[in-house]
Amino acid sequence: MTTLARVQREFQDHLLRGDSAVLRRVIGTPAVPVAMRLGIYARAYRSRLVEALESNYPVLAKLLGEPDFEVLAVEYITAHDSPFYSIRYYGDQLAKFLSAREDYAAAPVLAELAQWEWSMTSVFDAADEAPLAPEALSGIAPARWAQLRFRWHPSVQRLTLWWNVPQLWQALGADGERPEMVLAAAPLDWLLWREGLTSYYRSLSKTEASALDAARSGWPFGELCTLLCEELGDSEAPAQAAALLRGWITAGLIVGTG
Amino acid sequence: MLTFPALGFGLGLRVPHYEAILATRPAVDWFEVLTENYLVPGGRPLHYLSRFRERYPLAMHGVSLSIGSSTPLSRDYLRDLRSLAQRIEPAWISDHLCWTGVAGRNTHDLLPLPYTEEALAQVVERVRTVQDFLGRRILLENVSSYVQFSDSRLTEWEFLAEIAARADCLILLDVNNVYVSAVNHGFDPLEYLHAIPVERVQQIHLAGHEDHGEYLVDTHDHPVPDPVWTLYAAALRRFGRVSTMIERDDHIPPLEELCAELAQARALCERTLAEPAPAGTDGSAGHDAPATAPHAFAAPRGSGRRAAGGGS
Repeated sequence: MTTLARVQREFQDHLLRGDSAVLRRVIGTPAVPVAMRLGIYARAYRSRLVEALESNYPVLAKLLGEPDFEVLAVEYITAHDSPFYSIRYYGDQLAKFLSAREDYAAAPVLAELAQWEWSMTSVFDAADEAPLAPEALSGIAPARWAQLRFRWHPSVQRLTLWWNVPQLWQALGADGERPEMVLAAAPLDWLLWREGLTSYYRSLSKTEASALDAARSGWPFGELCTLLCEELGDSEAPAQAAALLRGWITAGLIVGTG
Repeated sequence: MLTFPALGFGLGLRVPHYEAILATRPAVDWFEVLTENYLVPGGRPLHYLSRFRERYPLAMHGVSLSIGSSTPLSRDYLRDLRSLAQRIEPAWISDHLCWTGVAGRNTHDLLPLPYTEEALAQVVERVRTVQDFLGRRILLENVSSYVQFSDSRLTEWEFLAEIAARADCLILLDVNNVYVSAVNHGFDPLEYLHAIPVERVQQIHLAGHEDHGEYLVDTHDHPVPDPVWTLYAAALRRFGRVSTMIERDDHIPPLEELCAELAQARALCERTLAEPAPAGTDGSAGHDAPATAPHAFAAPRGSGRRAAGGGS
Protein backbone atom coordinates (compact mmCIF):
# COMPACT_ATOMS: atom_id res chain seq x y z
CA MET A 1 0.00 0.00 0.00
CA THR A 2 1.39 3.42 -0.94
CA THR A 3 1.61 6.21 1.64
CA LEU A 4 -1.14 8.05 -0.23
CA ALA A 5 -3.40 5.00 -0.06
CA ARG A 6 -2.76 4.69 3.67
CA VAL A 7 -3.50 8.37 4.31
CA GLN A 8 -6.69 8.19 2.32
CA ARG A 9 -7.84 4.99 3.98
CA GLU A 10 -7.26 6.50 7.42
CA PHE A 11 -8.96 9.77 6.46
CA GLN A 12 -11.97 7.93 5.11
CA ASP A 13 -12.16 5.63 8.13
CA HIS A 14 -12.23 8.75 10.27
CA LEU A 15 -15.16 10.20 8.33
CA LEU A 16 -17.08 6.95 8.13
CA ARG A 17 -16.34 5.44 11.52
CA GLY A 18 -14.55 8.00 13.62
CA ASP A 19 -11.23 6.09 13.55
CA SER A 20 -8.42 8.21 14.93
CA ALA A 21 -5.35 6.98 13.01
CA VAL A 22 -5.42 9.96 10.64
CA LEU A 23 -5.09 12.50 13.46
CA ARG A 24 -1.33 12.12 13.57
CA ARG A 25 -1.07 12.92 9.87
CA VAL A 26 -2.84 16.29 10.06
CA ILE A 27 -1.41 19.65 11.09
CA GLY A 28 -3.40 21.82 13.44
CA THR A 29 -2.94 25.32 14.81
CA PRO A 30 -3.63 26.60 18.30
CA ALA A 31 -6.70 28.45 17.04
CA VAL A 32 -7.98 25.58 14.93
CA PRO A 33 -6.73 22.27 16.32
CA VAL A 34 -6.68 19.01 14.39
CA ALA A 35 -9.93 17.63 15.80
CA MET A 36 -11.79 20.80 14.86
CA ARG A 37 -10.39 20.69 11.33
CA LEU A 38 -11.30 17.05 10.80
CA GLY A 39 -14.67 17.72 12.40
CA ILE A 40 -15.54 20.06 9.53
CA TYR A 41 -15.20 17.12 7.14
CA ALA A 42 -16.99 14.66 9.40
CA ARG A 43 -19.96 16.98 9.81
CA ALA A 44 -20.04 17.78 6.11
CA TYR A 45 -20.02 14.06 5.25
CA ARG A 46 -22.95 13.34 7.50
CA SER A 47 -25.01 16.38 6.57
CA ARG A 48 -24.46 15.79 2.86
CA LEU A 49 -25.81 12.25 3.09
CA VAL A 50 -28.69 13.31 5.35
CA GLU A 51 -29.53 15.91 2.72
CA ALA A 52 -29.36 13.29 -0.04
CA LEU A 53 -31.80 11.08 1.87
CA GLU A 54 -34.09 14.04 2.45
CA SER A 55 -34.08 14.85 -1.21
CA ASN A 56 -34.82 11.23 -2.20
CA TYR A 57 -37.46 10.78 0.53
CA PRO A 58 -39.05 14.22 1.01
CA VAL A 59 -42.46 12.90 2.04
CA LEU A 60 -41.07 10.33 4.46
CA ALA A 61 -39.04 13.19 5.98
CA LYS A 62 -42.20 15.25 6.29
CA LEU A 63 -44.16 12.36 7.81
CA LEU A 64 -41.51 11.64 10.43
CA GLY A 65 -40.65 15.27 11.11
CA GLU A 66 -37.11 16.63 11.00
CA PRO A 67 -35.69 15.27 14.28
CA ASP A 68 -36.94 11.71 13.75
CA PHE A 69 -35.96 11.69 10.11
CA GLU A 70 -32.48 12.82 11.03
CA VAL A 71 -32.20 10.00 13.57
CA LEU A 72 -33.27 7.53 10.87
CA ALA A 73 -30.90 9.08 8.34
CA VAL A 74 -27.92 8.90 10.67
CA GLU A 75 -28.71 5.28 11.50
CA TYR A 76 -28.93 4.48 7.81
CA ILE A 77 -25.69 6.35 7.09
CA THR A 78 -23.94 4.42 9.85
CA ALA A 79 -25.13 1.15 8.32
CA HIS A 80 -24.66 2.10 4.64
CA ASP A 81 -21.58 3.68 3.11
CA SER A 82 -22.16 5.04 -0.37
CA PRO A 83 -20.81 2.85 -3.16
CA PHE A 84 -22.24 5.19 -5.82
CA TYR A 85 -20.32 7.71 -7.85
CA SER A 86 -23.45 9.86 -7.92
CA ILE A 87 -25.21 10.82 -4.71
CA ARG A 88 -28.50 10.57 -6.65
CA TYR A 89 -28.56 6.85 -5.87
CA TYR A 90 -27.75 7.06 -2.16
CA GLY A 91 -30.56 5.61 -0.07
CA ASP A 92 -31.55 2.79 -2.39
CA GLN A 93 -31.75 0.37 0.57
CA LEU A 94 -33.88 2.53 2.85
CA ALA A 95 -37.13 0.56 2.42
CA LYS A 96 -35.30 -2.66 3.19
CA PHE A 97 -33.60 -0.99 6.17
CA LEU A 98 -36.95 0.16 7.54
CA SER A 99 -38.45 -3.33 7.18
CA ALA A 100 -35.51 -5.05 8.79
CA ARG A 101 -35.26 -2.80 11.85
CA GLU A 102 -37.69 -3.90 14.52
CA ASP A 103 -38.51 -0.39 15.77
CA TYR A 104 -39.31 0.90 12.30
CA ALA A 105 -40.94 -2.32 11.13
CA ALA A 106 -43.55 -1.76 13.83
CA ALA A 107 -44.84 1.03 11.55
CA PRO A 108 -44.77 -0.79 8.18
CA VAL A 109 -46.25 2.20 6.39
CA LEU A 110 -42.77 3.76 6.60
CA ALA A 111 -41.10 1.06 4.52
CA GLU A 112 -43.94 1.18 1.99
CA LEU A 113 -43.67 4.95 1.70
CA ALA A 114 -39.90 4.67 1.19
CA GLN A 115 -40.47 2.06 -1.50
CA TRP A 116 -43.00 4.36 -3.18
CA GLU A 117 -40.75 7.43 -3.12
CA TRP A 118 -37.77 5.52 -4.47
CA SER A 119 -39.92 4.12 -7.27
CA MET A 120 -41.28 7.55 -8.14
CA THR A 121 -37.74 8.91 -8.45
CA SER A 122 -36.79 5.99 -10.68
CA VAL A 123 -39.82 6.76 -12.86
CA PHE A 124 -38.81 10.43 -13.01
CA ASP A 125 -35.41 9.91 -14.62
CA ALA A 126 -35.80 6.51 -16.28
CA ALA A 127 -34.57 6.27 -19.86
CA ASP A 128 -36.65 7.85 -22.60
CA GLU A 129 -38.20 5.65 -25.21
CA ALA A 130 -40.92 6.42 -27.74
CA PRO A 131 -44.17 4.57 -27.02
CA LEU A 132 -45.57 2.23 -29.62
CA ALA A 133 -48.16 3.95 -31.81
CA PRO A 134 -51.58 2.27 -31.65
CA GLU A 135 -51.54 1.86 -35.46
CA ALA A 136 -48.47 -0.32 -35.20
CA LEU A 137 -50.61 -3.21 -33.95
CA SER A 138 -53.02 -3.11 -36.88
CA GLY A 139 -50.29 -4.28 -39.24
CA ILE A 140 -49.56 -7.44 -37.29
CA ALA A 141 -50.68 -10.62 -39.07
CA PRO A 142 -53.37 -12.56 -37.12
CA ALA A 143 -51.15 -15.66 -37.07
CA ARG A 144 -48.46 -13.79 -35.13
CA TRP A 145 -50.67 -12.56 -32.29
CA ALA A 146 -50.47 -15.68 -30.13
CA GLN A 147 -46.67 -15.39 -29.99
CA LEU A 148 -46.52 -11.60 -29.72
CA ARG A 149 -44.45 -10.29 -26.81
CA PHE A 150 -44.23 -6.70 -25.62
CA ARG A 151 -41.34 -4.42 -24.69
CA TRP A 152 -42.09 -2.05 -21.84
CA HIS A 153 -41.18 1.55 -21.23
CA PRO A 154 -38.09 1.72 -18.95
CA SER A 155 -40.03 3.83 -16.43
CA VAL A 156 -42.65 1.17 -15.66
CA GLN A 157 -42.70 0.14 -11.99
CA ARG A 158 -45.07 -2.17 -10.13
CA LEU A 159 -45.74 -2.05 -6.41
CA THR A 160 -48.06 -3.95 -4.10
CA LEU A 161 -48.98 -2.00 -0.98
CA TRP A 162 -51.01 -2.65 2.15
CA TRP A 163 -51.22 0.99 3.19
CA ASN A 164 -52.79 4.02 1.53
CA VAL A 165 -49.33 5.28 0.68
CA PRO A 166 -50.20 7.03 -2.62
CA GLN A 167 -52.85 9.17 -0.90
CA LEU A 168 -50.47 9.94 1.91
CA TRP A 169 -47.72 10.82 -0.57
CA GLN A 170 -49.97 13.08 -2.59
CA ALA A 171 -51.43 14.92 0.41
CA LEU A 172 -48.11 15.47 2.19
CA GLY A 173 -46.29 16.27 -1.04
CA ALA A 174 -48.82 19.02 -1.74
CA ASP A 175 -48.46 20.30 1.83
CA GLY A 176 -52.01 19.16 2.44
CA GLU A 177 -53.41 17.75 5.64
CA ARG A 178 -52.13 14.33 6.54
CA PRO A 179 -54.80 11.74 5.79
CA GLU A 180 -55.37 8.92 8.23
CA MET A 181 -53.07 6.00 7.58
CA VAL A 182 -55.21 3.08 6.52
CA LEU A 183 -54.28 -0.57 6.34
CA ALA A 184 -56.26 -2.30 3.60
CA ALA A 185 -57.92 -5.69 4.08
CA ALA A 186 -55.93 -6.97 1.12
CA PRO A 187 -52.87 -5.45 -0.57
CA LEU A 188 -53.46 -3.16 -3.54
CA ASP A 189 -51.54 -3.33 -6.81
CA TRP A 190 -50.10 -0.11 -8.23
CA LEU A 191 -48.60 0.81 -11.54
CA LEU A 192 -46.17 3.75 -11.87
CA TRP A 193 -44.82 5.05 -15.15
CA ARG A 194 -43.87 8.13 -17.12
CA GLU A 195 -45.32 9.34 -20.37
CA GLY A 196 -43.18 12.02 -21.93
CA LEU A 197 -42.04 14.07 -18.96
CA THR A 198 -45.05 13.43 -16.76
CA SER A 199 -45.09 10.73 -14.11
CA TYR A 200 -48.32 8.81 -13.50
CA TYR A 201 -49.61 6.16 -11.17
CA ARG A 202 -52.82 4.22 -10.84
CA SER A 203 -54.16 1.22 -9.00
CA LEU A 204 -54.70 -2.05 -10.82
CA SER A 205 -57.39 -4.68 -10.54
CA LYS A 206 -56.13 -8.13 -9.58
CA THR A 207 -56.83 -9.29 -13.12
CA GLU A 208 -54.87 -6.48 -14.74
CA ALA A 209 -52.04 -6.83 -12.24
CA SER A 210 -51.54 -10.50 -12.97
CA ALA A 211 -51.83 -10.00 -16.74
CA LEU A 212 -49.42 -7.06 -16.67
CA ASP A 213 -46.90 -8.89 -14.50
CA ALA A 214 -47.08 -11.93 -16.78
CA ALA A 215 -46.69 -9.76 -19.88
CA ARG A 216 -43.72 -7.92 -18.37
CA SER A 217 -42.03 -11.18 -17.51
CA GLY A 218 -42.22 -12.13 -21.20
CA TRP A 219 -45.42 -14.12 -21.63
CA PRO A 220 -46.73 -13.92 -25.20
CA PHE A 221 -50.18 -12.52 -25.88
CA GLY A 222 -51.67 -16.01 -26.43
CA GLU A 223 -50.69 -17.09 -22.95
CA LEU A 224 -52.05 -13.87 -21.46
CA CYS A 225 -55.36 -14.71 -23.09
CA THR A 226 -55.26 -18.21 -21.57
CA LEU A 227 -54.53 -16.66 -18.18
CA LEU A 228 -57.50 -14.31 -18.55
CA CYS A 229 -59.74 -17.19 -19.64
CA GLU A 230 -58.88 -19.03 -16.45
CA GLU A 231 -59.74 -15.99 -14.38
CA LEU A 232 -62.73 -14.56 -16.25
CA GLY A 233 -64.10 -17.41 -18.36
CA ASP A 234 -64.06 -17.82 -22.13
CA SER A 235 -66.79 -15.31 -22.83
CA GLU A 236 -65.27 -12.27 -21.13
CA ALA A 237 -61.59 -12.96 -21.67
CA PRO A 238 -61.10 -11.87 -25.31
CA ALA A 239 -62.77 -8.48 -24.79
CA GLN A 240 -60.83 -7.97 -21.57
CA ALA A 241 -57.51 -8.88 -23.22
CA ALA A 242 -58.17 -6.38 -26.00
CA ALA A 243 -59.18 -3.68 -23.50
CA LEU A 244 -56.11 -4.17 -21.35
CA LEU A 245 -53.78 -4.05 -24.31
CA ARG A 246 -55.47 -0.92 -25.63
CA GLY A 247 -55.11 0.72 -22.23
CA TRP A 248 -51.41 -0.15 -22.01
CA ILE A 249 -50.75 1.19 -25.49
CA THR A 250 -52.73 4.39 -24.90
CA ALA A 251 -50.83 5.06 -21.67
CA GLY A 252 -47.51 4.70 -23.45
CA LEU A 253 -46.44 1.67 -21.43
CA ILE A 254 -45.45 -0.42 -24.44
CA VAL A 255 -42.57 0.63 -26.66
CA GLY A 256 -42.28 -2.35 -28.98
CA THR A 257 -43.25 -5.88 -29.86
CA GLY A 258 -41.23 -8.97 -30.57
CA MET B 1 -1.97 27.43 -25.07
CA LEU B 2 -5.67 27.77 -24.26
CA THR B 3 -7.60 25.04 -26.00
CA PHE B 4 -11.04 26.48 -25.56
CA PRO B 5 -12.35 29.94 -26.46
CA ALA B 6 -13.28 32.27 -23.60
CA LEU B 7 -17.01 32.39 -22.94
CA GLY B 8 -17.40 35.53 -20.84
CA PHE B 9 -19.55 35.62 -17.71
CA GLY B 10 -21.65 32.66 -16.68
CA LEU B 11 -23.76 31.18 -13.92
CA GLY B 12 -24.22 27.72 -12.51
CA LEU B 13 -27.36 26.18 -13.97
CA ARG B 14 -29.68 25.31 -11.08
CA VAL B 15 -33.12 23.66 -11.17
CA PRO B 16 -35.02 26.51 -9.43
CA HIS B 17 -33.99 28.82 -12.30
CA TYR B 18 -34.94 26.54 -15.21
CA GLU B 19 -38.23 28.16 -16.08
CA ALA B 20 -37.03 31.71 -15.48
CA ILE B 21 -34.07 31.19 -17.80
CA LEU B 22 -36.23 29.74 -20.55
CA ALA B 23 -38.83 32.47 -20.15
CA THR B 24 -36.53 35.50 -19.86
CA ARG B 25 -33.39 34.49 -21.77
CA PRO B 26 -31.17 36.44 -19.34
CA ALA B 27 -27.96 38.04 -20.55
CA VAL B 28 -25.76 35.29 -19.21
CA ASP B 29 -23.00 34.33 -21.63
CA TRP B 30 -22.87 30.66 -20.65
CA PHE B 31 -23.88 28.18 -17.98
CA GLU B 32 -21.91 25.66 -16.02
CA VAL B 33 -23.86 22.46 -15.37
CA LEU B 34 -23.24 19.99 -12.57
CA THR B 35 -22.33 16.88 -14.51
CA GLU B 36 -23.75 14.33 -12.08
CA ASN B 37 -27.22 15.91 -12.20
CA TYR B 38 -27.44 14.76 -15.80
CA LEU B 39 -25.81 11.35 -15.51
CA VAL B 40 -29.23 9.75 -15.34
CA PRO B 41 -30.91 7.57 -17.96
CA GLY B 42 -33.46 10.15 -19.17
CA GLY B 43 -36.54 12.16 -18.30
CA ARG B 44 -36.76 15.79 -17.27
CA PRO B 45 -33.08 16.43 -16.40
CA LEU B 46 -31.81 15.51 -19.85
CA HIS B 47 -34.78 17.12 -21.57
CA TYR B 48 -34.02 20.45 -19.91
CA LEU B 49 -30.32 20.10 -20.53
CA SER B 50 -30.94 19.81 -24.27
CA ARG B 51 -33.14 22.90 -24.21
CA PHE B 52 -30.46 24.94 -22.46
CA ARG B 53 -27.82 23.62 -24.81
CA GLU B 54 -29.86 24.94 -27.76
CA ARG B 55 -29.71 28.40 -26.20
CA TYR B 56 -26.38 28.73 -24.40
CA PRO B 57 -22.84 27.39 -24.38
CA LEU B 58 -22.46 24.93 -21.51
CA ALA B 59 -19.46 23.71 -19.54
CA MET B 60 -19.62 20.46 -17.58
CA HIS B 61 -18.45 20.58 -13.98
CA GLY B 62 -18.17 17.27 -12.14
CA VAL B 63 -17.60 16.16 -8.57
CA SER B 64 -17.03 12.43 -8.97
CA LEU B 65 -13.85 12.01 -10.99
CA SER B 66 -11.83 11.55 -7.79
CA ILE B 67 -8.65 12.25 -9.72
CA GLY B 68 -6.57 12.09 -6.54
CA SER B 69 -7.87 8.78 -5.23
CA SER B 70 -5.48 5.89 -4.73
CA THR B 71 -8.04 3.41 -6.02
CA PRO B 72 -8.58 2.94 -9.76
CA LEU B 73 -10.59 5.44 -11.77
CA SER B 74 -14.23 4.44 -12.17
CA ARG B 75 -14.63 3.19 -15.72
CA ASP B 76 -18.40 3.48 -15.37
CA TYR B 77 -18.09 7.13 -14.45
CA LEU B 78 -15.69 7.86 -17.29
CA ARG B 79 -17.94 6.10 -19.79
CA ASP B 80 -21.01 8.02 -18.58
CA LEU B 81 -19.06 11.28 -18.56
CA ARG B 82 -17.93 10.75 -22.13
CA SER B 83 -21.37 9.90 -23.37
CA LEU B 84 -22.87 13.00 -21.74
CA ALA B 85 -20.10 15.07 -23.32
CA GLN B 86 -20.87 13.55 -26.71
CA ARG B 87 -24.51 14.39 -26.19
CA ILE B 88 -24.14 18.07 -25.26
CA GLU B 89 -20.73 18.97 -26.66
CA PRO B 90 -19.70 21.16 -23.73
CA ALA B 91 -17.24 24.00 -24.11
CA TRP B 92 -15.07 22.10 -21.62
CA ILE B 93 -15.14 19.55 -18.82
CA SER B 94 -13.89 20.26 -15.33
CA ASP B 95 -13.60 18.50 -11.98
CA HIS B 96 -11.63 19.00 -8.79
CA LEU B 97 -8.08 18.40 -7.66
CA CYS B 98 -9.11 16.15 -4.80
CA TRP B 99 -10.25 12.65 -3.96
CA THR B 100 -13.75 11.60 -2.97
CA GLY B 101 -13.27 8.09 -1.63
CA VAL B 102 -11.28 4.87 -1.69
CA ALA B 103 -11.97 1.14 -1.46
CA GLY B 104 -15.30 1.28 -3.26
CA ARG B 105 -16.74 3.99 -1.02
CA ASN B 106 -17.68 7.52 -1.94
CA THR B 107 -17.77 10.22 0.73
CA HIS B 108 -19.32 12.64 -1.79
CA ASP B 109 -16.93 15.29 -0.52
CA LEU B 110 -13.97 17.00 -2.17
CA LEU B 111 -11.18 15.82 0.09
CA PRO B 112 -7.69 17.32 0.17
CA LEU B 113 -4.51 15.55 -0.89
CA PRO B 114 -1.13 15.44 0.77
CA TYR B 115 1.14 17.45 -1.51
CA THR B 116 3.82 14.85 -2.03
CA GLU B 117 5.80 13.68 -5.04
CA GLU B 118 4.02 10.34 -4.79
CA ALA B 119 0.57 11.95 -5.00
CA LEU B 120 1.76 14.26 -7.76
CA ALA B 121 3.00 11.39 -9.93
CA GLN B 122 -0.20 9.48 -9.42
CA VAL B 123 -2.52 12.38 -10.20
CA VAL B 124 -0.53 13.23 -13.32
CA GLU B 125 -0.87 9.68 -14.60
CA ARG B 126 -4.59 9.65 -13.93
CA VAL B 127 -5.17 13.03 -15.60
CA ARG B 128 -3.41 11.70 -18.70
CA THR B 129 -5.61 8.60 -18.65
CA VAL B 130 -8.77 10.69 -18.35
CA GLN B 131 -7.70 13.10 -21.08
CA ASP B 132 -6.83 10.23 -23.42
CA PHE B 133 -10.17 8.61 -22.71
CA LEU B 134 -12.17 11.80 -23.26
CA GLY B 135 -10.03 12.94 -26.17
CA ARG B 136 -9.72 16.42 -24.70
CA ARG B 137 -7.94 18.34 -21.99
CA ILE B 138 -9.76 18.75 -18.72
CA LEU B 139 -9.73 21.55 -16.16
CA LEU B 140 -8.90 20.84 -12.54
CA GLU B 141 -10.21 23.12 -9.82
CA ASN B 142 -8.46 23.93 -6.56
CA VAL B 143 -10.68 22.95 -3.63
CA SER B 144 -11.17 24.65 -0.28
CA SER B 145 -9.51 22.74 2.50
CA TYR B 146 -9.50 22.63 6.27
CA VAL B 147 -6.57 20.32 6.90
CA GLN B 148 -2.99 20.04 5.76
CA PHE B 149 -1.04 16.83 5.96
CA SER B 150 2.28 16.54 7.72
CA ASP B 151 3.52 14.50 4.73
CA SER B 152 3.16 17.47 2.38
CA ARG B 153 6.41 18.65 0.84
CA LEU B 154 4.96 21.12 -1.64
CA THR B 155 2.53 24.00 -1.30
CA GLU B 156 -0.90 23.62 -2.86
CA TRP B 157 -0.03 26.09 -5.59
CA GLU B 158 3.20 24.30 -6.45
CA PHE B 159 1.30 21.02 -6.55
CA LEU B 160 -1.45 22.41 -8.80
CA ALA B 161 0.95 24.17 -11.17
CA GLU B 162 3.14 21.08 -11.43
CA ILE B 163 0.20 18.80 -12.22
CA ALA B 164 -1.03 21.14 -14.92
CA ALA B 165 2.44 21.28 -16.47
CA ARG B 166 3.23 17.58 -16.29
CA ALA B 167 -0.21 16.29 -17.28
CA ASP B 168 -0.85 19.14 -19.72
CA CYS B 169 -4.24 19.95 -18.26
CA LEU B 170 -5.94 23.26 -17.61
CA ILE B 171 -6.93 25.01 -14.41
CA LEU B 172 -10.26 26.16 -13.08
CA LEU B 173 -9.19 28.69 -10.50
CA ASP B 174 -11.73 29.05 -7.72
CA VAL B 175 -10.91 32.43 -6.21
CA ASN B 176 -13.16 31.82 -3.23
CA ASN B 177 -11.43 28.51 -2.53
CA VAL B 178 -8.03 30.18 -2.65
CA TYR B 179 -9.26 32.73 -0.16
CA VAL B 180 -10.92 30.18 2.15
CA SER B 181 -7.83 27.97 2.21
CA ALA B 182 -5.57 31.01 2.66
CA VAL B 183 -7.45 31.97 5.82
CA ASN B 184 -7.70 28.38 7.05
CA HIS B 185 -4.01 27.65 6.54
CA GLY B 186 -2.55 31.10 6.93
CA PHE B 187 -0.96 31.65 3.55
CA ASP B 188 -0.99 34.71 1.32
CA PRO B 189 -3.59 34.24 -1.44
CA LEU B 190 -1.60 36.51 -3.74
CA GLU B 191 1.40 34.24 -3.46
CA TYR B 192 -0.92 31.46 -4.61
CA LEU B 193 -2.14 33.46 -7.61
CA HIS B 194 1.37 34.49 -8.61
CA ALA B 195 2.46 30.87 -8.74
CA ILE B 196 -0.28 29.74 -11.09
CA PRO B 197 0.81 29.75 -14.73
CA VAL B 198 -1.27 32.31 -16.61
CA GLU B 199 -1.64 30.23 -19.75
CA ARG B 200 -3.23 27.32 -17.89
CA VAL B 201 -6.16 29.18 -16.35
CA GLN B 202 -9.23 28.57 -18.49
CA GLN B 203 -11.97 29.44 -16.01
CA ILE B 204 -12.56 31.27 -12.74
CA HIS B 205 -15.15 30.46 -10.08
CA LEU B 206 -16.58 33.06 -7.73
CA ALA B 207 -18.60 32.07 -4.69
CA GLY B 208 -19.34 32.86 -1.08
CA HIS B 209 -18.43 31.10 2.13
CA GLU B 210 -19.35 30.98 5.79
CA ASP B 211 -17.22 32.72 8.38
CA HIS B 212 -16.76 30.69 11.56
CA GLY B 213 -14.40 33.21 13.13
CA GLU B 214 -11.28 31.06 13.35
CA TYR B 215 -11.88 29.44 9.99
CA LEU B 216 -13.99 29.72 6.85
CA VAL B 217 -16.18 27.03 5.35
CA ASP B 218 -16.78 26.90 1.63
CA THR B 219 -20.57 26.69 1.57
CA HIS B 220 -21.54 28.33 -1.74
CA ASP B 221 -24.63 29.66 -0.01
CA HIS B 222 -23.77 33.35 0.27
CA PRO B 223 -23.13 36.18 -2.18
CA VAL B 224 -19.52 36.73 -3.20
CA PRO B 225 -18.00 38.62 -0.25
CA ASP B 226 -15.69 41.64 -0.48
CA PRO B 227 -12.38 39.86 0.08
CA VAL B 228 -13.19 37.46 -2.75
CA TRP B 229 -14.02 40.38 -5.07
CA THR B 230 -10.69 41.91 -4.10
CA LEU B 231 -8.86 38.69 -4.88
CA TYR B 232 -10.80 38.37 -8.13
CA ALA B 233 -9.53 41.79 -9.19
CA ALA B 234 -5.99 40.58 -8.53
CA ALA B 235 -6.72 37.43 -10.53
CA LEU B 236 -8.02 39.53 -13.43
CA ARG B 237 -4.83 41.58 -13.43
CA ARG B 238 -2.77 38.41 -13.60
CA PHE B 239 -4.85 36.14 -15.83
CA GLY B 240 -6.76 38.65 -17.94
CA ARG B 241 -10.24 38.16 -19.31
CA VAL B 242 -10.79 34.57 -18.23
CA SER B 243 -14.26 32.99 -18.41
CA THR B 244 -15.83 33.58 -15.02
CA MET B 245 -18.89 32.17 -13.34
CA ILE B 246 -20.70 32.51 -10.03
CA GLU B 247 -21.40 29.32 -8.14
CA ARG B 248 -24.36 29.12 -5.78
CA ASP B 249 -25.41 25.73 -4.49
CA ASP B 250 -27.58 26.49 -1.49
CA HIS B 251 -29.95 29.28 -0.41
CA ILE B 252 -30.34 29.87 -4.12
CA PRO B 253 -31.71 33.40 -4.67
CA PRO B 254 -33.95 34.47 -7.56
CA LEU B 255 -32.25 34.50 -10.94
CA GLU B 256 -32.26 38.32 -11.13
CA GLU B 257 -30.21 38.49 -7.98
CA LEU B 258 -27.52 36.25 -9.41
CA CYS B 259 -27.61 38.16 -12.69
CA ALA B 260 -27.01 41.36 -10.72
CA GLU B 261 -24.06 39.73 -8.98
CA LEU B 262 -22.75 38.61 -12.34
CA ALA B 263 -23.07 42.19 -13.63
CA GLN B 264 -20.92 43.22 -10.67
CA ALA B 265 -18.25 40.73 -11.79
CA ARG B 266 -18.46 42.04 -15.34
CA ALA B 267 -18.11 45.65 -14.19
CA LEU B 268 -15.19 44.81 -11.92
CA CYS B 269 -13.49 43.06 -14.82
CA GLU B 270 -13.95 46.06 -17.12
CA ARG B 271 -12.70 48.52 -14.49
CA THR B 272 -9.75 46.37 -13.52
CA LEU B 273 -8.58 45.69 -17.04
CA ALA B 274 -8.97 49.36 -18.02
CA GLU B 275 -6.59 50.43 -15.27
CA PRO B 276 -2.86 50.58 -15.73
CA ALA B 277 -1.24 47.70 -13.88
CA PRO B 278 0.15 48.73 -10.49
CA ALA B 279 3.93 49.01 -10.73
CA GLY B 280 5.89 45.87 -10.03
CA THR B 281 2.94 43.76 -9.07
CA ASP B 282 -0.26 42.36 -10.43
CA GLY B 283 -2.13 43.84 -7.57
CA SER B 284 -2.13 43.56 -3.86
CA ALA B 285 -3.81 46.85 -3.06
CA GLY B 286 -7.29 45.76 -4.03
CA HIS B 287 -8.30 49.40 -4.40
CA ASP B 288 -10.67 48.69 -7.25
CA ALA B 289 -12.91 46.38 -5.29
CA PRO B 290 -15.53 47.06 -2.66
CA ALA B 291 -14.42 47.66 0.92
CA THR B 292 -12.02 45.06 2.17
CA ALA B 293 -13.14 42.69 4.93
CA PRO B 294 -11.12 42.41 8.14
CA HIS B 295 -9.01 39.43 7.26
CA ALA B 296 -8.74 40.05 3.56
CA PHE B 297 -5.10 39.84 2.63
CA ALA B 298 -3.97 39.91 6.23
CA ALA B 299 -0.31 39.20 6.64
CA PRO B 300 0.30 35.53 5.99
CA ARG B 301 -0.16 33.53 9.14
CA GLY B 302 2.23 30.83 8.07
CA SER B 303 5.15 30.31 5.77
CA GLY B 304 4.48 29.70 2.11
CA ARG B 305 5.86 26.21 2.17
CA ARG B 306 3.87 24.01 4.50
CA ALA B 307 1.86 26.79 6.03
CA ALA B 308 0.07 26.67 9.36
CA GLY B 309 2.97 25.31 11.35
CA GLY B 310 2.67 23.42 14.59
CA GLY B 311 2.15 19.70 14.80
CA SER B 312 -0.88 17.78 15.87
